Amino acid sequence: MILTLLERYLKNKFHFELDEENKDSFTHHQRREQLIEMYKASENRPQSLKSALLLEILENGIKTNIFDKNVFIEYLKNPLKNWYMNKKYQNTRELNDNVWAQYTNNIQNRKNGQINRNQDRKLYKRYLEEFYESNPEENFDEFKEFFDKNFLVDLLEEFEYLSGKELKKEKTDLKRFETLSNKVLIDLLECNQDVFKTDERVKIVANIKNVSSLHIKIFEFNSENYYRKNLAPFRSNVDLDGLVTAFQKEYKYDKLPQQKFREVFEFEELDNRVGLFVIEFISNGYSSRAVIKKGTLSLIFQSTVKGQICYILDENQRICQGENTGLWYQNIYHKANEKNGKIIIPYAKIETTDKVILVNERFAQLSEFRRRSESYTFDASYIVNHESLLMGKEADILINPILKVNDRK
Amino acid sequence: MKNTKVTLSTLSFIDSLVSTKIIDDLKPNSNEEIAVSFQVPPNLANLEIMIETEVKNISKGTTEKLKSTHSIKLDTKNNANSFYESYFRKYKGDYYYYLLGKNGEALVDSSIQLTFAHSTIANQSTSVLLNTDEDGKIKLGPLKDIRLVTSSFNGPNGPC
Repeated sequence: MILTLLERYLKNKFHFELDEENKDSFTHHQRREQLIEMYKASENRPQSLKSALLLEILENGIKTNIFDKNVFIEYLKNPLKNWYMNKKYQNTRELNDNVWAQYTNNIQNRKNGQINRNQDRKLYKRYLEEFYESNPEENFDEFKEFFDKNFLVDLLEEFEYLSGKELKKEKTDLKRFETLSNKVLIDLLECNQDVFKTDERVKIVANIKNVSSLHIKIFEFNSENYYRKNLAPFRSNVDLDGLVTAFQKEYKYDKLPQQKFREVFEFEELDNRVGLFVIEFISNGYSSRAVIKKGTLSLIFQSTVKGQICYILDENQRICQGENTGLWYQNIYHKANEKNGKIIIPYAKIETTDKVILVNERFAQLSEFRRRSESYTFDASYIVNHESLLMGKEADILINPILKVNDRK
Repeated sequence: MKNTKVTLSTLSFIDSLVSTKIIDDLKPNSNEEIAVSFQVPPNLANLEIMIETEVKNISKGTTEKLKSTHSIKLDTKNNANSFYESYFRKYKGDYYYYLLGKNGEALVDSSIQLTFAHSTIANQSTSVLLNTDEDGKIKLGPLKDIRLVTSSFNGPNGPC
């Protein structure tokens, strides 16, 4: 009974946020604001719901690069699971009963809302590492009341080592640190954007370790050719062999091999350019790739008697028009009107949904389009004055016929 | 839209016969309604209006026939036992209640239970028992701020 009421409460109050249709339409920052709003509204609700929302805020923080210590501590007071917690928590009942997953399914950061040991460890480590990096004198005293002592000591030791400090030799597992020292790391952070506006400077943040020389290669892809050939979203593991690099850079570092540091790479070469780019970071046989999309295209359409009228919009929601604007649908190119950007797609005999490639100048983007069939509905409204229906008299009737094609007048 | 036509069908309650009038060759225009007129026959029980049109479906290469109908049922009280009905009328700023028979004859000195609900006083109403005059009417006045009036007459052949 209580659950039914809460379910109704959640769905009514946060219908827009929880709706599956809106799942992918928010930025990480917008989602964060919604999560915080939902957390505030759940003040008098069960703790398991509050903790589930706090966990989502923490996961969102990794994507938005917002590491809020207060939120972290608030979650640690009532974690969904007790692993990595100290003895005080081990004796308490775990909150996670997986009840909320079915209501908050569309706002969860983790796939299927998984709560598992490894993902929790990754989350705790990521936050603690951020707190340590923002304050190298950090000794994690304020977290001792929550975490298991060994878990904290091991992490602190690792962070100190990776920051270039000396090991406290009497207690350390040297083999572990030797492996750690030899490890090459070019770790592109999750908070990196993958879509940039045309005039926006491309910036990529990476954690780097044991790299003395870093080569960066930028490949430009002909997105129209790629999508026409594959008709699938661009993947970072695309084969780059045979491709000529558009730009190349080299960075030199003289840090200790164990020392992990953060670097922000800026690519002024990509200023005011549109297209699909793969940026490859290479060092010591290790490589990382970022796929960057500069500029976005979107499609709007409406049904008319002539067919479906479509317009391609650029990132500023302006209609694209010109000689090289159009779309590929089912291997047929529909060119846009050069003056107004209008594209007319005739109705199909049978309604189909298929991939569409939007093209403007040298840039293309993959999307989906539902080509509708021609379907007419007819209705009318009638006006008859009942008082005029007098025997032997002339009565007037007004009829307003309404013909709709695909539900539009 | 092509070949648009309106069919008016009237049903008589005496012999249940249907009479039909067809108005064709209409040219529908999105800016104005189609106006049709007909002579109201005696003993009208039902009026059915049907508008039909044809549309060419270019992608399917077919012509689709579309139609819409609307029906008006007249309350003749032919099979009812009660030969009277309540009416409400506004005349020169005042409201009147009428109790009239099937041919418009007044039901004189009949007791009517009237209930009034005020627009701002919620969940409260006032009831009063009043008699009709020689015209079968009761003058109710301007009914200022009254949001609901209900009447009840328990006649010899059933309530109304």
